[in-house]
Amino acid sequence: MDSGNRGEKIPLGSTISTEGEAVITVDRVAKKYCKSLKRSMRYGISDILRNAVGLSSHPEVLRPEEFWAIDDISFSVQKGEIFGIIGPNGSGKSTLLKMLNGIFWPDRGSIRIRGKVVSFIEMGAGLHPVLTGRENIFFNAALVGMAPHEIEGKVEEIIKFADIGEFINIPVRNFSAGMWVRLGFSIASHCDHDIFLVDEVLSAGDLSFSLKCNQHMKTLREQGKSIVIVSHNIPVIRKICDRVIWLGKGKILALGEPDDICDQYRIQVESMAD
Amino acid sequence: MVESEIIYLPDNAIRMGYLNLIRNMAKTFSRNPWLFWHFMVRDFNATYKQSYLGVFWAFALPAMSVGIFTLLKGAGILSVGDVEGPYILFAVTGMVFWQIFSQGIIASTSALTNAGWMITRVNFPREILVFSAVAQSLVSFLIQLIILGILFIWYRLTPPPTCVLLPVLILPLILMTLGLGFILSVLNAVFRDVGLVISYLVMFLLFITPVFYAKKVHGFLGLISDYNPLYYLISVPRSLVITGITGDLVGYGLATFISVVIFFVGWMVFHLAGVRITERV
Repeated sequence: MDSGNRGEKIPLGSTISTEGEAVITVDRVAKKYCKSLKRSMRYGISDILRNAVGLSSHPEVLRPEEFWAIDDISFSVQKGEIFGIIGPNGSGKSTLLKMLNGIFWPDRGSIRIRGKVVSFIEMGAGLHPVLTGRENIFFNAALVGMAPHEIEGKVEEIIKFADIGEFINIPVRNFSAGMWVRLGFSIASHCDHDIFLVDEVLSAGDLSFSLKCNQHMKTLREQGKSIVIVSHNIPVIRKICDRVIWLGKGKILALGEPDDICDQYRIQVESMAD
Repeated sequence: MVESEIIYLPDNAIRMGYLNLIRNMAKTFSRNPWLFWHFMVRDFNATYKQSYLGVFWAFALPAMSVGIFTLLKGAGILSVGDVEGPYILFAVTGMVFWQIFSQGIIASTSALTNAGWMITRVNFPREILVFSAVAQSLVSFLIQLIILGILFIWYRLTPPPTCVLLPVLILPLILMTLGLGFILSVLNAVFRDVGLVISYLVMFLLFITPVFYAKKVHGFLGLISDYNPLYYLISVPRSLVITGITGDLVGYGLATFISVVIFFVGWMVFHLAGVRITERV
């Protein structure tokens, strides 16, 4: 995402990216959370004050009641690749996606992003309840930094893809979860950004929409966009991903071909269930 | 297409250096003018469209406060000192300027926490929330200027030529409001008590600042007012709007300087706090 106020920004001029060049590079990244609310407040103020006067807040040190939600993760996503992330609940998948989106900073390591990022993560992301579906298209475009005229030409396409009929002119707060997903995914995926992050909220869409999304993501890949998808829907992961990573307790357990990794994951889950 | 590259590192904010930081802060607007517009319109509709009385709320609260004070003064319970112009005009003008500050501060404090659902999911420049909150109080101000106009007509007074300076005169007050708004919104995200306490704090400030009464020259209250930048930021524009002359220009100059400093410091702290707020909102 083109928000340089949260990272160093080095314009690369008109460098043409070659096929297979990494658009996302995650290098030995870690992120910690605080268990206790009161301590979290104290740490928060101390970090803010230290940063305000130019001191480091020593994020690599684990203070009392803190734990690593993500611990020493490294991988890269190539241009024109669909990259899947699977793992049990609480393994750090959402945190990782949020770091790729620039919402959290890593506490160790670095993340390098080449290109503009748009995400469709978690219920309610980016859609404003009071506005209608149509108004939300413009609002969401503004949120990801697009001018009204840039999104103008795509409005009909977005509405057609979402396929929610009359509801496009009704306030979003009246939508069902599925309609929300239809509209949200439609807007995010038509933004023409280079990197698209999407998570398990996509499963709220019905079967026909699910198939439409898979097809659309493959089309985006052909256009040279990169997609990072977090999902519990293993069959879909197998079908559309180029590479898959398996996260557990904040660490990478395996990385490789979709079928391979999914098999390993399935075997482990089934053996634990016995 | 120009490709941009971003690198996220721990303690990202301080690595850029202050110069880059300021440059990035300035870019907030140049890159997202439509986003600011969206938030402004949304906040405006939220305030006025869904309420039955709509725009009348902008008049109602100041009118009530001024009404109460006039009543108490008339009954001899309160003595307000020697005020410039008719008391109601004096009080309403003061109140209208005060509203920019009080409404701006209170709205900014909860601006971040109210937008929590957006902040934790979408990456957008958060300062727009605070700017939009203060812009709302400016919109109320513009609406209240209408009452002011009506009062001038009622009292058959012509506003002095210094009235044209009004947009410039309220600028320091706006900067002060923004600066404090930035700091308070960050504090509120971490300590929720701030939001609860702020309305009382603002009311307290209202009473010790000569908005409804003339400034006392002697005594403890006079001393506080001498050093209260809000006094200068409100009474100087008020004097220039009602009578056209004021004696507190030095104080006003100092108060302006303080406001500018608070504005920059506040914005910078807000900017650096960035992600820490997201984690706690």
